[in-house]
Amino acid sequence: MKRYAWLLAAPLLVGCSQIDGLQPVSGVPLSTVGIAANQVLVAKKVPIKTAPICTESATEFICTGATLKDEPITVKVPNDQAQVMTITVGGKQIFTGPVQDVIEASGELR
Amino acid sequence: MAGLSRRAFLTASAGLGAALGVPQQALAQRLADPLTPSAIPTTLDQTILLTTPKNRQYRYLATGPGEPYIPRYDVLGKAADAGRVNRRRSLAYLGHLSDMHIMDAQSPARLDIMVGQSESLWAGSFRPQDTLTVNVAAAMADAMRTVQFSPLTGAPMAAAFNTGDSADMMSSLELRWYIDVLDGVPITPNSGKAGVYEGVQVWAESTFAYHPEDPANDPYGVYGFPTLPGMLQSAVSQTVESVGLSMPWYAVYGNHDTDFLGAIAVSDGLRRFALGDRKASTWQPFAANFLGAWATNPSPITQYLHAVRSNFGRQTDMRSVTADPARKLFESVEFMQAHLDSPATPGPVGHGFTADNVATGKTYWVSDVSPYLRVFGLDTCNQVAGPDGAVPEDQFTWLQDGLEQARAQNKLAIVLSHHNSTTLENEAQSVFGGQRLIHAEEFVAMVQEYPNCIAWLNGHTHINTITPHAKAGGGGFWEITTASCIDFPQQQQLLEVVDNRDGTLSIFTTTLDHTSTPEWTPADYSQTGLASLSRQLSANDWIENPPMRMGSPLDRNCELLLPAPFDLTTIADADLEKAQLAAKARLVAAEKGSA
Repeated sequence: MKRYAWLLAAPLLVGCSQIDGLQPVSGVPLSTVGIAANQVLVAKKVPIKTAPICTESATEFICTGATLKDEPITVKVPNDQAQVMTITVGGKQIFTGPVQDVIEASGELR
Repeated sequence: MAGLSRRAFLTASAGLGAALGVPQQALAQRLADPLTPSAIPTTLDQTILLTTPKNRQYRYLATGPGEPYIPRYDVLGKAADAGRVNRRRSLAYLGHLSDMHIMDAQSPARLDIMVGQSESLWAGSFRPQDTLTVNVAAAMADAMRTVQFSPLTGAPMAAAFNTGDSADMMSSLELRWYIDVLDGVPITPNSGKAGVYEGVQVWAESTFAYHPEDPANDPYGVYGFPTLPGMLQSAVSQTVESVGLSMPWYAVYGNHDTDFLGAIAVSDGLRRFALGDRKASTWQPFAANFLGAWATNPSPITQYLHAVRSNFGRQTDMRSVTADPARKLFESVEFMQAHLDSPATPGPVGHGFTADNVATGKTYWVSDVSPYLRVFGLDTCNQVAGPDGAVPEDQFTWLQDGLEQARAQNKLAIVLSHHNSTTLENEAQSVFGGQRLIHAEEFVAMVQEYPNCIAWLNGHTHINTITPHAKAGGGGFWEITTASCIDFPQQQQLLEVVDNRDGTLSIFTTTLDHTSTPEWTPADYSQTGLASLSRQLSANDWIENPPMRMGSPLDRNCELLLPAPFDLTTIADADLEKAQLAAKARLVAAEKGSA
């Protein structure tokens, strides 16, 4: 991964059509939300048929999936600094809390 | 279905013994042992986790509980029959490596200085474990070799795949080191002056860097990174003895194997810079000259070369280092040629690339790694600019034709590339034009049309990620992205394709830790001690959000179900057993070779 490299390359190629290709490595924020959501679903033993698939807009991340009983799984995270994630399964809220707290906890021996 | 007859077994083992140069009787005895799941501990049995919660200071690692397989039904679309556990048979056991980022940390061309300008923008330009990449790679090769028999079925590993970013910065040294580690050739991971580290980690003015000899005056020391007297000296002076892989391995290009820093087309000026004897110790002179020249000169490339040639050598924050011609930046075709310049074992010579690739410049390949499994190695990197990738139209068409042919021949197929579906949107084109670039949505839709293509293996993001690509109306394939050897958790992956004998297939994924200990013993600068230290340092690299890169449990040890793409009874048990004998014989021969 080289999300920094565009900064060096940008001055080299300003004015060239190549500039369109100079972007950071994509997808990391979206992946982070998906990882945290799946972490919670597995910890709460939700029987998953389709793990949530996430999309990102300027204002929020939304992920949708389904249980083995075809109940909807919905994950919503405002696209702000706090990134408080809310997960509902079959319309019932099962979790709310910051994405990064889930990520941190997942890597720790408890 | 019946397996091999005794006569067929003896004939097969005699032929394999002769072909591999192994005494036939000894080989026959080994091959006659039934396949039993390997008892070697894997992440199914134990994991590596951070110890101290949320104190925002230096953390240590310890052994955590194992993670059993979690079944995933996203592509199958329904729960699977529980009876499959007792029916399944292995069709292929495979290894997956990616993003090894082998690094010559002392190269003058290395832009480690830029992390001093912005940690977030330049994450990855400097990591505290930069000098230890060869040690990690050797420990990972050891791990792959240790689990060369499946923890699930005992099947022998048929092949391992490396999905790119092998050489961090296009140095010929890095390229040679990476291939040698996997081929089992000893390496002393040093350049410049013999046995002496020359670089930012010992220069006082490089305050952005971790100074293991005395970190008191850098941010790493404040954070609690340890004082490690003698560590750098050990890293650059010890010979790393890699056991190498025992199974055939195959490689594709990553963006770091294609562009400078994974994003910039290489110029003659950059090539000279890499071979020079001056290295920046802070970012300011670099940025001042770089941007200043750019502002007054109409040609960006000329401006950059002007900065490199005319200004760097006179700056106060430039240090003299020992020049080394081995740091030469390689050309695209030299990447393939280096793979051809490798020993016959573990092979194959070229590791996927052929003499035809070198002659034509074609950077993608196809190979049958077993009678039932065809692998397509793509080059999704953009030689113009940008870290992300795309599929050029010629490869897209070639792959489509190849998948069609594989389907007609009842062969399973796996696609390899460096980039994954979240990083396949690079639009960069040469000013002289180029072929159409295909991006994720169109690429996935094409692959979905071929049910025999069961998986797409890739890397790039350094995050364990498993993504289903279910097709509307049924079917689809699994995309499996493995983490890296450079960032925490420093994991790679095992895969096993099994026939459930009920019209479904499963792909078992198992994350693989390298064989160094989770807990680093202070002052252990042995070969494996340095690998253990690297993992610990990477777990504390606050720029990289280390625990996120582990992925979720649904990205690690999983059983990925999907519909069988054709009648798998056409793969006879006897033929399967014969293919497994050949794979097992190769592993036995490699044991002999390394003894």
